[in-house]
Amino acid sequence: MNKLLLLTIFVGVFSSCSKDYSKLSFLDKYKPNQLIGSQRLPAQVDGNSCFVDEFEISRIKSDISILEKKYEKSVKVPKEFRFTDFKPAETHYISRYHEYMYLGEESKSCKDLPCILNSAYGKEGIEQGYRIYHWFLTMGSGISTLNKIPRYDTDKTKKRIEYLFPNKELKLLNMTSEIISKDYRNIKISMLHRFPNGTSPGLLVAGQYSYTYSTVKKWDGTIFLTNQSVSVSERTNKINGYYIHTLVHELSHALDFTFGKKKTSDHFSAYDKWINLSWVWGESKVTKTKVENGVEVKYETVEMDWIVDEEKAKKEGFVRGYQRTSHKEDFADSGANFLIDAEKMQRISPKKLKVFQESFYNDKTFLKNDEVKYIQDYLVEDFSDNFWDILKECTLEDSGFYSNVGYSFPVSVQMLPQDQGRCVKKKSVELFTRKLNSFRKTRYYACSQSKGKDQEIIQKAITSTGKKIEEQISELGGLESIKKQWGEFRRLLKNSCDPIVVYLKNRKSRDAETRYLNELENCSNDTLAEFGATHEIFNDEVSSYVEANTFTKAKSLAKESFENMTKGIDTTFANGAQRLVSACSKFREEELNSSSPISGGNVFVQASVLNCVNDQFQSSYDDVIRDYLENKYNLSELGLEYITQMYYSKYVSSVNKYFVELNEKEILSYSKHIFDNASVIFNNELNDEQILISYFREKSLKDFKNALKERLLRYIPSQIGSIPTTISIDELKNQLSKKLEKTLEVNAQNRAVNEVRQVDRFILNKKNSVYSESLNSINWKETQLNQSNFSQFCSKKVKTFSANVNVDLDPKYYTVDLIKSKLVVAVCDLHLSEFKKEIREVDLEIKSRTTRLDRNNDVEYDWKLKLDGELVAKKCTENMSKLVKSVLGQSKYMDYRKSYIKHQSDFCKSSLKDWEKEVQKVSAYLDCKKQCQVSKIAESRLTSAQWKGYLDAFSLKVTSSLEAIVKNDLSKEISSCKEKYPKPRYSLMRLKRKKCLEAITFDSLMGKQVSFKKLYEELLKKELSVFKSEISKHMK
Amino acid sequence: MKFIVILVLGLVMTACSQKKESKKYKTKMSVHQLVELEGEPDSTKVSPLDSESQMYKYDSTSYQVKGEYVQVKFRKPLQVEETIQYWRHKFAEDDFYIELYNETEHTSSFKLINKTKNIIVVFEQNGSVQRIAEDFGGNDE
Repeated sequence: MNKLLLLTIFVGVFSSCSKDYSKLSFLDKYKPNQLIGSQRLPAQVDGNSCFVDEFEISRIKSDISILEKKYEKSVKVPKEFRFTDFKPAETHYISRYHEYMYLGEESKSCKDLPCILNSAYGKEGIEQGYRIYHWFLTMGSGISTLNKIPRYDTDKTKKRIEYLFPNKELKLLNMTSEIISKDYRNIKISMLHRFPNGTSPGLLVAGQYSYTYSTVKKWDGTIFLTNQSVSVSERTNKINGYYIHTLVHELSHALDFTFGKKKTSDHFSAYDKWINLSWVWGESKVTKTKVENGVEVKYETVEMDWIVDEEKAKKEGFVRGYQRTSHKEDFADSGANFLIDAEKMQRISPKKLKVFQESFYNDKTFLKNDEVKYIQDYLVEDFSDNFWDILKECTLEDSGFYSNVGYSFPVSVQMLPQDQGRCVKKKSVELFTRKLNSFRKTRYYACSQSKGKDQEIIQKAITSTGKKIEEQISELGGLESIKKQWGEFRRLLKNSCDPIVVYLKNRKSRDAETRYLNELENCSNDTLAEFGATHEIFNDEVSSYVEANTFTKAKSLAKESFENMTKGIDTTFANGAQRLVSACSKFREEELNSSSPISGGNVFVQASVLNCVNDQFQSSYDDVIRDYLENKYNLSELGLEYITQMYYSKYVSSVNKYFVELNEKEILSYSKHIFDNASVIFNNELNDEQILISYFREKSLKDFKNALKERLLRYIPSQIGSIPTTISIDELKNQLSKKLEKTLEVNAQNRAVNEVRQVDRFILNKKNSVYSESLNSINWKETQLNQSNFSQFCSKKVKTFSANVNVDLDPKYYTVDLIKSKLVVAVCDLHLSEFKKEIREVDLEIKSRTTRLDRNNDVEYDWKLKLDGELVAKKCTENMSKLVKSVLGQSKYMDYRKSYIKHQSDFCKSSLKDWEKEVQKVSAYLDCKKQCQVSKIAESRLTSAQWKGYLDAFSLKVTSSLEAIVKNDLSKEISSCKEKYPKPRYSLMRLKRKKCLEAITFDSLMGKQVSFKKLYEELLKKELSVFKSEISKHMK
Repeated sequence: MKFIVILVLGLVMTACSQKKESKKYKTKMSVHQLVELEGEPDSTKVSPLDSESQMYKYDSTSYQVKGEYVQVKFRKPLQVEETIQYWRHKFAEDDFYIELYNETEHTSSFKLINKTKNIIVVFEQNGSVQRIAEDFGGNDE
């Protein structure tokens, strides 16, 4: 069985497989070079750093954020990982490699994949997790964070951390991923494992690539790595140590296997172009083992295989002896040598180097001479485009501040005017320096081949581009011509397509920005066509012009230029506002037509002034703007419109502000003066007889206010000046009338003093007779009078009596009606006084009689003892009605049927409540036992007669209840027995009827009465004999 | 004939009493009348000024209602009413006064109170009117 299984599971280490490798679908989607582009760009082009410096953790994280965007869709992760939301790229890693990911309790607080990977190291925020994730995103394989290695026993003496790749090795992996060919990405490798220090996959094995295939379970390729030396030289900027050799060697095995095709072979190294270089098909001595007589014996045999062709090997040899092991090892080691020791490989096996160069490295090598060439080529790449920019900047812009540089430039540059020449030189050197720095960061060997040789490299670049420089300068007819053409075109562009003008034309559209950009672009292209130039630099100029002059920029340019133009306009506006208001300040009585655009803010403005200001505002504004600008600028209509709109609200504010200032002045010169001198200015009005009479009669300030207004309108023009613009005459008159009212009142009283005395005497004489007459004639009881409605009722009724009174006075301040009204008031005051007196007396009487009624109730006790609330209430109402009727019988103002109704009701409600309390006290007594009963009597505060009365009443009530029971319920029970056993003559039936009757006890009736339970029980005992005899009657 | 005289007298008396009634409550509006006039409110909530009153909110108007009667109507100004200047001229003949209504670090608002017409106009420092409150006499009883 085991044998069968072993046969079934065919393990192929570095061997061909029976089935084609199928790439995972997600890898198919992203071709190797798409992962990060064909070249990793430097983080910054400035500075003097090298390729190996570009792998600090911040850069790795920045790479990750770009790389992981390529994964748009998430895949399902195993259940144990569903404790947070992972990014799509992270889900791909987890989905593929979760079997070799450490996941502890501490991992579950993580929010991303690097954190989970770091948790294997027992530390948060370290670099390892990010470096592993970076390796996956670039190379498409995972790195184990477990302490187990597939198909190897776990060494329990080793800690988990010893199985994990240390940071320096991971950093090397990150570097290698960028050094080696992009063809190494997404090859047949699933996982990288690390053996703990001191252990390895086999004796003297530094690394191993394994690809296992079985019909039971499919494995992807696996790389096992061991502890090997690794370091980066700061001096040479090169990676030292055997680790990189091992790593690239094993990766090259995977490359060999991945690029092999089944039709010919499963390995690239078996292709003719490789195998024919050093290998031949022949007999190979193989050492095997067999078991003889139970003992394992080694023996040698011969098998056909690829063996080293020594003749060929003289020309195409092996850099290391180990390569002779097999053509696969030859290929894998060559992959490492190509990168690490290209010069030696070039010497010993130049064709193998050529195979790697052409098949995997896009015809590039790591040979030092080639590296220098790559640098030179890179520096002059796209030089033409860049040089146009340099020429443009140096011919059209201020180039006077450039110093000379120590490089030798072509004659054409030497011939340029000094400033421009320096500029071209300086900018060219800067361009080459920038590119050199950039290249050093992106190519592994660039630093080691270029450091300290900048001058030489840049000079070579200048020399090699000299011809181009000459050509480009002459192409446009020399610098002067360039300058002239460029300058002309720029001027034309600026004049024809001024961004400010284009902005002003389009700013009011809903899609202003789009319209602006379209017009600017169309205008620029039209200008170019008109200019007639065909050289590409002018197309560039158009693009740059449109790009540089964005809508926002044009908007701020317009604002800025108009603001510059209108510096100092505030003063002009202030003067304009003053002129406008002054021209309108003539006061006329008219209605306010409009308070827009000028509202005056919160300051009052005469209607005539504000109407005028608003009528003339627009023309005033136009005048102000025109006057201001015409002295300095000749504005287009668009500009004038813009500026007019821009400052409209500002001019509105200026006018409103002027009204505030004017108001402050006018308050001082008008209001203060008038208030300070009010008693003098308005002396006539304060002593005017008609005004005084009017005020005396009606207490109204109406006439006085009118007089004040008239006086103000006369006084101000004659004594102060024109009618104020910002002070309301009406508001002023109202304020003045309030201030002067007291004086007016005193004056009126003084003038009317004699007449007041006469009227008072007259009323004194008349009021008693009117009072007497009205007292007897008016039906005072027709309504229910109280203190609040009495005066109104009285005035209404007494008025008819006062109408007949003859007023034999000749009043000036009073009117006859006023005197009669005063008489009515005096008479009603008398009535009210009488009414109040009566109320006081009635109140006292009712109170006294009610107390007596209470006492009578105690004596006349029987209705309270009926234990019937309705009866108690009814009796109380009867008593109270009688009482009120007898008290109010003599009243002048109140009817007993209408008055004191509430009083009666309140009294009876209170009485009823008191009675209920008494009943409750007796009931409580009956419900408790002896000792308790004593305390209940003490608490009751009832007299002994009351107490006895209540007990008797309760007893009587219960007795009646029992009688009813006997009559109703007990008779039903007895009848039931009779009906059940109708014929007593039969002895058996008689016996049963007797038993039925005997079963009727009072106990069985107990449940039918629940109130006063204790008393009921007592009474049952007491009446038992009576009931028994009753029953016995029926039994007979 | 007698009947006609009595009928005419009766009608005159009714008319008089109705007129009197109408005069007495001319500014007083019941909730029922409000709903008849404006429809059901868009929303109601407790008045921030008086916890026993409700605010009936409509599009640009709201009413403060207490019990069965409308107390105050709050509304936004019409275009012509948007400046305090308009109101000062409109109320020229009335006694009115201006009080500080609300003051913050940045701005102040004021109220112009016209007791004669029972109208309060709330306005900003720059003279722009925010809202108008009309007393409906719902407090009188």
